[in-house]
Amino acid sequence: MDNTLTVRAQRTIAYGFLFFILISMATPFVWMISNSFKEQSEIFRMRPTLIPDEPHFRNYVSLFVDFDFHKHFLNSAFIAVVHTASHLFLASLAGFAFAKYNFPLKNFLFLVLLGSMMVPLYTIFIPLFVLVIRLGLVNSYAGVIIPGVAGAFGIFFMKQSMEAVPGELLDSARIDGASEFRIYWQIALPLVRPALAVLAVLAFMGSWNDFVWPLVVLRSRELQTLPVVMAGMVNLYRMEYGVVMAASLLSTLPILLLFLALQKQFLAGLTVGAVKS
Amino acid sequence: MLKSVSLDRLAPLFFLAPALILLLVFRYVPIVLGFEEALYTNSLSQAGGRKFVGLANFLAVYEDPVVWGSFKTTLIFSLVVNPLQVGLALLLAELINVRVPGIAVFRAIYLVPIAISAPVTAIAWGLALDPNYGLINGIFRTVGLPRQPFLQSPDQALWSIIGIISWIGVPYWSLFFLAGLQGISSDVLESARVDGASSLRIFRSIKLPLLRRIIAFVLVSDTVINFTLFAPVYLLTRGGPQLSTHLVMYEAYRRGLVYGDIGIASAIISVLLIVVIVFVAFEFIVLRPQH
Repeated sequence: MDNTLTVRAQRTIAYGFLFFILISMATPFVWMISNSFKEQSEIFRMRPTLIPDEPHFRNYVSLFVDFDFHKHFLNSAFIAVVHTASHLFLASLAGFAFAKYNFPLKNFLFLVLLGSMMVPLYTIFIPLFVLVIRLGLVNSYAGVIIPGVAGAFGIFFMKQSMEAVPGELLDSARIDGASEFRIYWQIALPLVRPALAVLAVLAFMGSWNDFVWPLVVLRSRELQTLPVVMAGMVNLYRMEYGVVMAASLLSTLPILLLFLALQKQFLAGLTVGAVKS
Repeated sequence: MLKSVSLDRLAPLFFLAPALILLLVFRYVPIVLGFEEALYTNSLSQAGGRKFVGLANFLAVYEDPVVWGSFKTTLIFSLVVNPLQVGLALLLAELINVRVPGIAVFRAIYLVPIAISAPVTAIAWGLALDPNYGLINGIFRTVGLPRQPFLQSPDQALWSIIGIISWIGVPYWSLFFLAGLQGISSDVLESARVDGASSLRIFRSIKLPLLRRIIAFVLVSDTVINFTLFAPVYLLTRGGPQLSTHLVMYEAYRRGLVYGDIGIASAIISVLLIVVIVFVAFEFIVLRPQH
C-alpha cells in the first residue's frame, strides 16, 4: 500500500519534470513556426501570439524569390552528403584496420590518431585557412569538405564496433580467396550498419550545421551554405524576422526528419562500446 | 603468390593511409603552420608584407587588453558552462531514462533542439530575448516579473549566451548519457533496489562510476566546443556590449579575417590551442579510470 503510493508519487514527479522539460525544449521551436507565418507587425506585438491572427505564406515565398533559398539548400545538401559519405568510408576503413590487423607501427599510428583528437578544427582555423589558400582550395567545395573529412572520433567509433566482428568470418572469407578490401566491404561493413547509422547522423548534422568553416572558406555568395546565408539575412535584413524564421524552420527539417527516422538505431548504436571498456 | 601475400600484409596500412594522411596534413601541419605564422607580420591584404618579427606577435597579444580580456572572458565562460551543461545533461538523461508510458514521445520532442543548428538557435533566441518584443519578456510580463535587457546588458549578455547554447548542449550531451544509462544491466540495478538502496544512492554508487568513460568523453568534447564558441557571439552580440561577450574565437576571427592580420590571429589561436590542451589533459587526468 505504502509502496504503491510512493511509486505513484514518484511517477507524478517524473511526469512533472518531463512536462517542464518538454515545454522548455519545444516552446522556442513552436514559437519559431508560429512567427514564420506572421506579418512583421504581428511578430513585434507587445503580447506575443501563438496562433497568427492572419497566417500567410509570404515569408516562405520571399525566401525562394528574394533569397534563392533552394540554391543554398542544394549547396548545403551537396556538401553534407559528400562529407558524410567520405567520412564514413575513411573512418570505417581505418577503424577496420585498427580493430582487425596487427601491423608494424600500430601503436605509434594509434598515438598519432589520439593526438589529433586534442586538436579540433576550430582551434587551428587561422593556419588551416592559410593552408587552404596555399593549396588553392579557397572558395571551393573541396576546401570546405577535405580538411574535415577525416576525424579521430569517427575512427575510434568504428574501431569499437569493428572489434565485435568475428575473426573466423574474416578468415573463412580469406580461405575462399577474397581480397582484404573485399572482406572489409562485403563482410565487415554490413555487420556494423547500426554504428554507421549513428556516425552518418552525427557527420551529416555536423556538416549541415557548420557555420565557421564555410564562412571562412567560401567567398562567393552563390556557393555559400544555408547557415551562413541565414546569418547574412539577420545582419542585412535585421527586420525581416518572419523570413528568417521560415528559413530556420525549413533548414532544420532535413535533420529533424533524419533524426526521427533513425532515433531507434541512433540510441542503440550510441551504446556500442560506450559502457563496456 | 609471394607478391599477393606481402600485399595482403600491407593491406591495413593501405586502409589507414587516407585517413592518417589527411589528419597529418589538416591537423598536424596547421599546428606547426600556426606557430610559424605567428612569428611573422602578415597581412592578407598587402602583397609581400610578410616579415619575420620573432615573438613580437605573442608580446602584442600579451600586452593587448582586448585580447587578454577575451581570454579572461572565455575562461570564466568555460568554467561556468562546462560543468553546468554536463551536470544538467546527466540529470536530464536520468530523468528521461524512466520507464513510464509515453516516454518515447517525450524523448522525441526533447531531441528537437539538437536538430537545430547553432546559427538558427542564435537567431531564434536573439528574437526571443528581445528586450521589448521578445517571448521571454512577454512571459515575464504575464507573471509580473520586471523587463530584462538580456543581450543588451553587459551584465546579462554572457549569461544569456550560456543559456542559449545550453539549450542545444544539454539535450545533445544527455543523449550520450542516456545511451550509457540504457547500457547498464537492469539486473545490477534491480538487486541494488532489492537491497534497499535509494535512487540517489544507486545513481551515485552504481551509475556514476559506470558512466565515467562517457562523462570524460562528454566533458572533454564540451570543453573543446565551448572554448571555440563562435556563432552566437558573431550573430548576436559581436563581442559586446562593452566586450562582455568578447570570446577568443571571435577576437581571432576579427583580427585574422576582418583586419587580415594573420600573424596576430595565429598567435591568439596558438595560445588558445595550448590552453585547450592543458584543460583537456587536466580533465583526462581527473577522470581517468581508477583500477
